[in-house]
Amino acid sequence: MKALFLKTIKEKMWLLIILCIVSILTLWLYISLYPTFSKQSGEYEKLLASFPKELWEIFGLQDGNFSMSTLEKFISVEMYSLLWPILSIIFFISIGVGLIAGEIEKGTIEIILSLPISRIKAFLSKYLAGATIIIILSFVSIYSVIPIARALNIAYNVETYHKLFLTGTLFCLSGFSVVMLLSTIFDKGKTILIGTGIYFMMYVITILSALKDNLKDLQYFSFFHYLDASRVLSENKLDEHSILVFSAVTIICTIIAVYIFHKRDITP
Amino acid sequence: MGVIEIKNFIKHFGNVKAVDDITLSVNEGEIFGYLGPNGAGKTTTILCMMGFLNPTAGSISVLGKDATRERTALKNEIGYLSSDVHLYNDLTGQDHFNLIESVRGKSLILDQLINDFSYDPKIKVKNLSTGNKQKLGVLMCFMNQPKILILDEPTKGLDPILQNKVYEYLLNFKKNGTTIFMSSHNLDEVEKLCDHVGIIRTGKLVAVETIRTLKEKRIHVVRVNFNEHPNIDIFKTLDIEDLVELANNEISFKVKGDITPIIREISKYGLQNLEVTYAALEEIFMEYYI
Repeated sequence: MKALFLKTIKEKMWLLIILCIVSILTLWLYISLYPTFSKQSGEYEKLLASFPKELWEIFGLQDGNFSMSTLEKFISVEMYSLLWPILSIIFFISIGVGLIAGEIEKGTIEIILSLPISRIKAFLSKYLAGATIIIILSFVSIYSVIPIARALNIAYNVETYHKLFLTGTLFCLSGFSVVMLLSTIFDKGKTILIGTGIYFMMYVITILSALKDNLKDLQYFSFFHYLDASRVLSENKLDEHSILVFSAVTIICTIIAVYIFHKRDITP
Repeated sequence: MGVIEIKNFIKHFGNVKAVDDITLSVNEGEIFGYLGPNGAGKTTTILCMMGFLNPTAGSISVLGKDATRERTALKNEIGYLSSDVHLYNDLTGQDHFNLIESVRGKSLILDQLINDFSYDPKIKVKNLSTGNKQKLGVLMCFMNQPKILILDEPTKGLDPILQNKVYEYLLNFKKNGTTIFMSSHNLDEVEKLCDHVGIIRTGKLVAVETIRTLKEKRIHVVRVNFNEHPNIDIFKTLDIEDLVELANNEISFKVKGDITPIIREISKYGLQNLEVTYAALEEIFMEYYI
């Protein structure tokens, strides 16, 4: 089990290193721009406030959250409300697809299945390896703000990053679990299509629920509603419902995926 | 009771009957050849023996254990070689060996295998030729000296020298009590190695024969070049089939079973050239299908 875990980590190591570097460089770029924005924050706030409220809600920003008076508010707008979720989704879909559906399609699953490892252990080794990679990337892409801000002599609030790390990581793990479940049922192409489709639909739901009052309740069907990075960073608030929803999705999808992988016919 | 027991085994994929009610038994220390044309159900049977697929009905037991329910424990005793070896392209052969050793334990014969098969384990799989990939698959299958070997066309893609090396190892494994279940399209290979053969057609087992019986049904294709124009009528009296007179004092015909009496007979005439080949396996299958 350890060997399979390490092999999976080794396979994805370069992708992880590259994405960590890209995250750090992107954060460095945004944070280094912050002092300039901060000096003119009053004018920006006036300008941004003139846009319709619904437009901000599409990007997961509530009333007042688009203020750039603190680093956390600035970075939530620039990075964690839209760019970070999109990149995370692409990342966990690409990882999850390869681990099961990809191995079945390439036929390399035969190597694992012909070893005396139960299918449950094989699945969990791969799942844990994927989850570890996701947690590492999430950690680097969130906590890197602290050393960068310190290096650039910008004030920051550590506590908000703990909360964002918890919510953001659970958002990624729940998505990864959904993709792993799809990956045990469908081939690679269908897994990508359905996985991407689910998140696209959730994004559409977020937009619709922000635009139409009578569709407001639809927001509860979208993971983007529970991620709400702007609320975590701007107001330093952690929504327990988000933790509950992401944890429940992660656990339920993983249990179903393990069961299906254990029972199904596997032919390359 | 056999080491491998297949009883009333059925495997359907939707409406397609891939394997339809097969019963057979393989004894300890024997090499059992599983023959049949493409799509007959050989690989499906093997995948069910390995627990990759679940039988629709019936049972498969290996070493007294159910191949589906106890598949994990069974893998300790089974070496498996797929008909199309699938490997991790970005890993070297050594990485593959390490992965297997980390689960199955240290191989006692790996160095010997690497040496005998002249294999370089430092090269990444993506840089290996098809033959070398097959070679790596064979080594991974043999390295832990399993009690049971399940091989789906084990010499596919190997050159004749390496094929002989594989045969040598298989016969050695057999001598040490390993039971081998192998599918093959190569009749020569089957004749050299197997004790019994099972012949499958469209999912049904049509015969289980000793290798001797199979040899009796073997069809040789003979082409003979005489020094002078042959009197074809003489050959019509011999126990041969499909006699054809060709140009340049040449005739061709087919002989079923033992060819010695026929060779003795035609050697009475001045021969310029004699070529004996084997009919395709499919022609032998036809013997069982009609």
